[in-house]
Amino acid sequence: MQDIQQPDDLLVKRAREGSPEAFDALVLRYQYKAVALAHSILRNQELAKDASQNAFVKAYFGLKNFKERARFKTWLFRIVINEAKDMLRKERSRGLFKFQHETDQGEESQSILELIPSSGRSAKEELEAREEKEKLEAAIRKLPEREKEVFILRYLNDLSLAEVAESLNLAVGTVKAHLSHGLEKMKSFLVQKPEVKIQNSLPLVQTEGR
Amino acid sequence: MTMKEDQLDPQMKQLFHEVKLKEPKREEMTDYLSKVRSKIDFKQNQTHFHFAPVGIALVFIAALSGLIYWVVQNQPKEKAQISMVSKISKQVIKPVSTPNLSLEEAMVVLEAFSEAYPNETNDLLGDEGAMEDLVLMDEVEFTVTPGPSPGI
Repeated sequence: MQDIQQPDDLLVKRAREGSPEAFDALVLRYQYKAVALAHSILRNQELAKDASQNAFVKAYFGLKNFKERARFKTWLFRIVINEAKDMLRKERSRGLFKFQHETDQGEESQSILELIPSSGRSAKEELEAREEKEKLEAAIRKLPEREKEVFILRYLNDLSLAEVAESLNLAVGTVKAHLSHGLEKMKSFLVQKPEVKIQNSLPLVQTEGR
Repeated sequence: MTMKEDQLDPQMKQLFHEVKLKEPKREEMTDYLSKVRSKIDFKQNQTHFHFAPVGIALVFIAALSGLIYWVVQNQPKEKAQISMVSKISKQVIKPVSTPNLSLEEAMVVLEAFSEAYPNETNDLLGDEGAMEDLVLMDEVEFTVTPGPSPGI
């Protein structure tokens, strides 16, 4: 219990010296975020758990090469992203259609976002918030891979621009550019949605008018 | 106000404040750490276990290279032995240079030859007249060389 309160750099130092308790504390600290991040790429809870566990294993064996100037969190996130992408590639090559089918079928249960609980919402507000969440999720899914990663790390994982850059091994300027493009697309996707609904309903209106 | 909020318009800001990445439930994570540990242990053991096959492979490779080396080394010896035998056999076959025979010895050889191959000599020479001359010359020679007869 005492380990969990120690800062990352101290736990990393102790883990490098061979303390399994210190590494366990790091796992306990980041396990939820690691699974969530892997899940945002894989859209499958079990695979996400597996990929993030593999990432922790890689981190454990890679601690010797970990530069102390770097932040453990961003370093771990980079490993998780790479591991999840690798798993996604393998799953797709193993059974492209099967994997695609499973993810499409379980779209609702495999949603990558969740509403932050709030006691102040009415039932109507809760419903509206859910709809907004679904729109946002659909918009995120349409983003190109890199923009999606930047967006998720920046706005859904609360990382700073520097931390996002570190996690993705990119320059801060590149992150800003991806973020700017991503946000523009997000806005257009979010605005497009109602228009599509109107277009779809047009033939019905015309028929009724005759 | 953070940089994150600076870049967003109020509508987007509101939206992002209401959602977060979906995290697994606490009950879904009960065995998470133990699985990480077991994966670490497995990988550690795998590293040790891998030594045995690698060792076996190395021994096999060493034995194989030894065998190849032995074959390569022995091949020239066999060749050398063969060439030695052939040299010796050539030496055996090679006609020995004719020793200097005495006249009597030479005659014995010639007689033996003419007895063994009487026709061949004629065939070889092909000239009966010349043969007669030779025989005559021989007779003359033989009558002269043996030494004085008691009658003379």
